[in-house]
Amino acid sequence: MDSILLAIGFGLVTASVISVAALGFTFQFAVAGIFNLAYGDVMTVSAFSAYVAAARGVELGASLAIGAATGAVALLILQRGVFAPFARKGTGLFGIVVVTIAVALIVQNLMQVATKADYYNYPFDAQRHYRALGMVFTDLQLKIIALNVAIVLGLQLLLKKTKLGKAIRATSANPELARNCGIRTGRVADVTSVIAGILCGFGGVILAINIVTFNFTTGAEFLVLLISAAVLGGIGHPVGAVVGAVIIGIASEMTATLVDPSYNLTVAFLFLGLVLLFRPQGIFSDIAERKNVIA
Amino acid sequence: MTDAAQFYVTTLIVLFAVDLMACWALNLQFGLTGILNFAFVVFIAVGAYTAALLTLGPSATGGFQEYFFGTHLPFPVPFIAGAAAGALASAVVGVVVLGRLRRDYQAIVMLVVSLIATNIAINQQSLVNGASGLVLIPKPLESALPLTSLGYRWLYAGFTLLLCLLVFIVVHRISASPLGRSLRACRENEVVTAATGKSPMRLQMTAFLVGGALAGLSGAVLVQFLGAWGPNNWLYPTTFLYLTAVLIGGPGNNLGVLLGVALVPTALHEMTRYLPEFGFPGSKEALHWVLIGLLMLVFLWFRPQGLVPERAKHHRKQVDH
Repeated sequence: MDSILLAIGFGLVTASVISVAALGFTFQFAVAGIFNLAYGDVMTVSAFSAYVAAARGVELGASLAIGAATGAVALLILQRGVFAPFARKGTGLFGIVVVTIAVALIVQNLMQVATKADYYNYPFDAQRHYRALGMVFTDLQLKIIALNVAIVLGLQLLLKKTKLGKAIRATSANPELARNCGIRTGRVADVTSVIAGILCGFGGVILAINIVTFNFTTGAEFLVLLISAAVLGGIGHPVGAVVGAVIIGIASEMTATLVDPSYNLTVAFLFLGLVLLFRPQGIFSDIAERKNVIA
Repeated sequence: MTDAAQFYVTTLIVLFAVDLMACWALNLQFGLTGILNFAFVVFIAVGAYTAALLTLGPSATGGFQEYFFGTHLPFPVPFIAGAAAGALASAVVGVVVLGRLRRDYQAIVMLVVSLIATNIAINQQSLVNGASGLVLIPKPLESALPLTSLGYRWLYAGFTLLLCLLVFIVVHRISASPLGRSLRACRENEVVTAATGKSPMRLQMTAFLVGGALAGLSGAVLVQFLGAWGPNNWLYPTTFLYLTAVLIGGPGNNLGVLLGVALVPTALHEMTRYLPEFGFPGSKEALHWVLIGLLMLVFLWFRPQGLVPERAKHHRKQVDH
């Protein structure tokens, strides 16, 4: 019983790391309609920029902010410089996916050259441990979980209660109609990239902190987990991304503790496989269905 | 030609031929039918592992490599089995993925399938010897033929080119046939295709199966030449390399794909061998991938139909006198 509770605890931490990143990914899909496979590599870039700051003694909160800012700038540049022009040109949906993969390859390999493929350790001070309900958390992990909750609530507030949120939801539902109603969809697309970029940046830094040792492939390797979480929860749906993250986080940690550590990812993928077999639109399926993800 | 040069040339020929077979298979799936198969390299791997397992012989306990099934089968059987395994794997994946999902979603799912496969192969040691891979895979008929090592290589190179020709005949016949026309229709507009009475799911599955079989065959041919095969031979960027070859050459056009394969996996890949090392070890390799990514973007922007575009089919109008 103890090990199960411990596993759930670890699972919640993993889930928090996955969910911030999955939120950004699913958000970008919901509004811009693209699967951005370069997302993982932008996470790595943000992690590196936060690392550079932290290594010079910048404290945690500010480094997080720097990482988030890097992510925002990177995704904004990609959106305006690469994805939007291709979309305007009329490139089909899978053309855009190939474009994002090309960008991912370029970014990842440039990072490889820049970092000389070294591993880096994210610096942080010694942690206090807390026990609650049979689960163990460090200080930092509790902060990560809290940050995650704050982000999810913040995003929901933004989307439901603000005018900008309404504009974003309208553009997500029907861009043409939104434009006809006077909503500046170009502006909305930019804001979406910035928000997704902030989430991506947070996700990257949190990932680096949680995993402690990282290199230029860390984000890309993580991409699969976060796509699985987003797809499992229903692609495009923010709450879905969080629920998917919790399921995958807890399931993978339970497998690691109870069965075999090397299978933790396999279980996550198995979930994904089952979902795709029986319910490809995911758990919260309204946005997925609206975007005609099922042919 | 010196021995070393002969060694190099035969390797180049075999690699080119294997890449060509694989890219023709990918062209069948992507160029003709429009399925973005990001798990493509998995089917090559399935064929390769099958051929390897069928020639290595049973795994001795306490031996230095473990795998789940092994036997010695004579010459053409491992190749045929490799193709069959590729088709079987395609059937399994196809049932889950095809026909039900939007094209780009389908692509993501395939990518995840590819990563799952790599994950299982690496972690499950008893399956195909995990991350170390299989080695000492015997070449077909090596002991039976009275040839020097170099002579055998030339023979194998010739054999691979012959297989290439056969594969070309297969893909060309499909492409020029009514099936080819239906596949193209399915690529352009699934709803209309269904309205004419042809099931898009059936058509996609057919392309997927044949493509998978050819991919498996190419894997089997490669593994018996290389003699070793591990997860590093089939990482997901390899699919992207083949996709780049098809896209640059001309998706939907088999001769275009030939040009693409000559340019990308062969020329570009091999050319980096001759450039001097700089930076840290591996930076040449990394920059070559950056170049491939850039090539992709440039071609998708300026010439998405590829260097040799698909020939539009013109039908002569009947004129009644």
